Amino acid sequence: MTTLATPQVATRVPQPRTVPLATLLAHEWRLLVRDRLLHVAASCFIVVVVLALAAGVRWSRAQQATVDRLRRADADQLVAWQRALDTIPADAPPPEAFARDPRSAFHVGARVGRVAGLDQPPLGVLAVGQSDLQPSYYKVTTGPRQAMLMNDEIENPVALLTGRLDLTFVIVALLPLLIGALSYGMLAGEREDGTLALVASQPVTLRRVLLAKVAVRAAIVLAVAIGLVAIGLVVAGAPLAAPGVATVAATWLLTVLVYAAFWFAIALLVAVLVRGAAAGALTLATVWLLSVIVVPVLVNVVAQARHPAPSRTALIAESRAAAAAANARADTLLRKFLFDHPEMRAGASVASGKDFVTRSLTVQFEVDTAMAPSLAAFDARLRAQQALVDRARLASPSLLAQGVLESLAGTDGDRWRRFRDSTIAYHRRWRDAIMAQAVRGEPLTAAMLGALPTFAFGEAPADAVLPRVGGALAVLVVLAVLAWSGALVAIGRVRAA
Amino acid sequence: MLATIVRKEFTEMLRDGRVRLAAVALLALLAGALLHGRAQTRALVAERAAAQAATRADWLAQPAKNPHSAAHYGIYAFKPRATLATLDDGVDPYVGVLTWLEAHKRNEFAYRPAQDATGAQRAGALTAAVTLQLLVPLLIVLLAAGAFATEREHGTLRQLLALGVRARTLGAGKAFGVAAALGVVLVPATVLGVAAIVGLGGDTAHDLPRAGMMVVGYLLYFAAWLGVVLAISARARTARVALAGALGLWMLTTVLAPRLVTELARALRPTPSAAAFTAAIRSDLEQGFDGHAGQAEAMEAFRRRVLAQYRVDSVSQLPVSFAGLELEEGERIGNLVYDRHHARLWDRFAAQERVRTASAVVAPVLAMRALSMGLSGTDVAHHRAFAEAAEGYRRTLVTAMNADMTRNARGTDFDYKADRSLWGTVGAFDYDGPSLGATLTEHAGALAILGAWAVGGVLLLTGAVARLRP
Amino acid sequence: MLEAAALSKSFGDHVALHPLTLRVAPGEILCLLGANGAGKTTTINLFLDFIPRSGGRALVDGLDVAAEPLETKRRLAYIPEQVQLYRTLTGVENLDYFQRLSGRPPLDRAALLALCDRVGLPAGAADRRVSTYSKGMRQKVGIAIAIAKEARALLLDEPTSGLDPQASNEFSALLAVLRDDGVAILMATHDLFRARETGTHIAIMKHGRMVDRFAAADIGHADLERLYLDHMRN
Repeated sequence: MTTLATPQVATRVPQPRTVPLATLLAHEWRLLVRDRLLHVAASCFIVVVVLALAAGVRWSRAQQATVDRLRRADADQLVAWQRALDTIPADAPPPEAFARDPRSAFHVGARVGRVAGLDQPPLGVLAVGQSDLQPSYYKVTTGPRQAMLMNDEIENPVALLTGRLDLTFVIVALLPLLIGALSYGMLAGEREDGTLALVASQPVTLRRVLLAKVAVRAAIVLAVAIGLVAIGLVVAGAPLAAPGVATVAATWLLTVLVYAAFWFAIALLVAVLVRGAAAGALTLATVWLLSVIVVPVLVNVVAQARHPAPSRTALIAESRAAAAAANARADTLLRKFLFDHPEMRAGASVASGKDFVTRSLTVQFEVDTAMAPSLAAFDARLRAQQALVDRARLASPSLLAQGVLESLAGTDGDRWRRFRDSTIAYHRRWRDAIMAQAVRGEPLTAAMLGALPTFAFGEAPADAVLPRVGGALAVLVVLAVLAWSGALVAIGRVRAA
Repeated sequence: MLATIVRKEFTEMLRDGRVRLAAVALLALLAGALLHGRAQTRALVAERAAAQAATRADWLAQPAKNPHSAAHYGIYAFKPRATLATLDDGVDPYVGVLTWLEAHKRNEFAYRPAQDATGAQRAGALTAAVTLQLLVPLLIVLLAAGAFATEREHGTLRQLLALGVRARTLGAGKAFGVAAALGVVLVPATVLGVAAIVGLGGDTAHDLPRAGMMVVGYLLYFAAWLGVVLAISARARTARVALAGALGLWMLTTVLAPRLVTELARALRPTPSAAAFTAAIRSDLEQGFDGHAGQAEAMEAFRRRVLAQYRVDSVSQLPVSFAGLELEEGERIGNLVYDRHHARLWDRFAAQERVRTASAVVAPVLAMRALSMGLSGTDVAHHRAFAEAAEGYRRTLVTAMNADMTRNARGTDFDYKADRSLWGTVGAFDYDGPSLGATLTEHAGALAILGAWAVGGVLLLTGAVARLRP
Repeated sequence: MLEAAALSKSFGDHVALHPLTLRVAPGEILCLLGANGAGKTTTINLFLDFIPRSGGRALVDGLDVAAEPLETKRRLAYIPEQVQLYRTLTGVENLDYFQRLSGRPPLDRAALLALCDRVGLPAGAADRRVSTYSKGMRQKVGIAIAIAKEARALLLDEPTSGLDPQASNEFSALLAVLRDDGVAILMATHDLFRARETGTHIAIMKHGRMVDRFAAADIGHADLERLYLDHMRN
């Protein structure tokens, strides 16, 4: 036996201190490629991404087509009316109040009205979001505001209940599953198969091996989740060249990246901390369940308990009472209206208070005015609920990511609420213009028709959404960084045996 | 022998900390869901009943006025909250809560509660049904995925088979063992559920048989999951493979499939946009349809017909108010058009539902969901029944007004004022939902598929156990 | 080459390995005998730094394994009771991967195939997936990995248990070749016969202590068995 009194220095040719990362990556890649699970999981995911993109495009185009059709019909109607008015001699007798005649303010303003339509947001294909619950057009007439806002788009309620297969759902709910499926056995699987011992007996740290494993998986997942979606956006013809849109699309993909990074950190933590592949899979499934289903559901319950949505039923009763009161005071109201609007007193004979059209318009005007505070209070309570939920989103990275992704896609409801507010303002302008005509009692002319207010939605610049999602995205980044820090600390403690 | 195996499985599961934790969490969620559902039912039942009474009072309190004016004033129909919606509120948040019943027009239901909720609600509601449909299968996966695979991995399966335990007995023992463990959660949950429903004091003779059928449906659903997961476990090489397989199946069939199938149903059986729907109705009303004349022409023909019938030359010679007759004729024609379009739309929804139910062949949760909503009275069919009842009431009410006008407004027409006593001659709106039989017929397909899944699960298990290898 | 100096390991209150001192020089094979739970595998795991030691030191080529886990592993090769390889890869691919992991320059395919041949892998097996391999074939790949790495110390944990006599014999012959090349080998085994045939030294362990130690040449097979059983009985 030789004695080793002093440590001997290795006598061989100096060797590279560490295994090239490329070796580890190539090996991981080869293992994954030969794994049936990868083929099944990745191809399922790719198919679902393509389907979701197709569904998003279909939805977005159908919505846009409906709005376009309605606008075209409005324009055609206007042209037809103006043509008809050109042929009516100026000395023709004025139309009856309810006649289907373009000269009748009632017909034009109360019966036919105009459409206020919302264009699809440029990146609407990325998320259906709330757009299946929130109508993208309203028929604006002189009728009460509440009646106008009651009109919903037709949709099978079961489809609303189920939710849509859009890219946001795929990213928020399914991407973590893909990450989990690829990663749950990355350490425990090798330990259980026995290969880990042999790897650990080599001069390479398990940290390095594990990080290589994550890197290869991340490359696959992100190639699909980000690469495929980016290609899909181009193929689907999203207007990326429009100002700001490309930035928003890039932020969307960045959010996907951050969200995926978060889940990879969780997968890594579970791989390191949970012994046994089966137990790891269960743990990941549990974290997923909490983040994607349980916490959002509980957030919902808390929001409903803390800020219950005010009762529409009560609101209806209130507006009925307001209508009854306004009806009872109709004559007084009309006189007051004329007093407030001296410029309309010209047609005094018509405005005697007996004319049904002016009378009913006045009543509706009064109902809208009387209901305004209640409606404002109603909206305020909804906003309080929304604010609570926005805070509670922090409890679930999935809710957080969903919020950011839908906001960036423009279908989270914020843009729609601005559209609804514009519609309400337009409704007011339309009602006032028609009312003025009706009170004056003069038949409408082609010029007057052309001068009626038109709806225009003050679309915010595409990238105006960025500051709004900044906070949530930052929180998501912090969560991902925290999870990664935890994972990197834990990874140092991993042992082969 | 069987009892020994069942007891061992049961004891083993109860000693597993993860199982205990999962069971407690699930039971807590179920209890929370029931409490939440009960509170909502209480509030909504009271609110809707009060609103229905108030709108009736408004109707009765009308001053003397023209009957047609009263018909325009109209009345609201508020969708009642079914007691069993405590367990499964189904599509209730996604359909309007009220509709305005007035002359000439069949209005849509307005105010979907989901519109007044935040986007977070779309992630799902906390109901007993969601918990039972999504989470109990997951508990079954947790309990059963390792049943054979772990024993195979640890080598105890080899020993058991070497002892001469019949594979079939072993399979049955494991199935009953898991079932017993599930019972620890489900039996108290059922008791709580029944207590919640009875405590709400609804019509128990209506609710309890439905709840009973629901129990049957869920038992079939759970049996299917138990059979399939145990079969996977019996075939899998390791516990890890069994678990991954069972979890994958759960995710594909309960998370992905419902959305995928909904997109499929939308693509196969598209519904019109609301704008197209109203435009089609307007066009049919104005221009006529299927050989029916347009409004102007039809009313002119009607005038001639009435004159001929009464053998007079002009409407002023009629012994009745022509305005009343004309209004009623307008309603009749309008109703034809509304019926045609609404029936088409409802049938479209039903066709989408058939796509979904048929897809339950690959994703049993779809059948379970349909059956659960149907029995709870919160499916589309129930909404349709209510919508049609409300529409029927609208017609009764408007017809009564028109009839009064026809009888009494001769010569005065729209200047005629009916006495306040007229309002009370129309009874209050009273609605009874579809019977249990009708609901079961509606969802016979879903029930059959659930049954097939349960039988299939047992067969799969029997087949896998028959070829059980250590 | 391999040296334990008062190396010990406890799991909580349980002492798995009492302070152990041993040395294995190049060209020596030290066989550790002992019942299950005697501390043999613990000793090997400590040399591999798979588990943190409780006291003493384990040195490979004079380097402390806890202080320089990677540098010591460069000089080591390990063959467990079951050499488990990536089932979806072929024998050559596995060998190639572990060769690269060892930090040595990669070998070309001809060299890898020659290695497979040298350890006696049947012709054609090298390009088959490992999932089709018998245990003996996988152990041979394990040896091939050790050879390719030019390991100067070999740690074997019951490498021949469960092998048929022929495979066991071939495996021992390979060990003898490595020994003659100057590799220091530490082998935990239950096979008294092989221990005496291949080992240069034999140590008997019991309850975490080394209770006896001698040169293999000094003892006959029957004597070894009697000695071993005596130790186990006391």
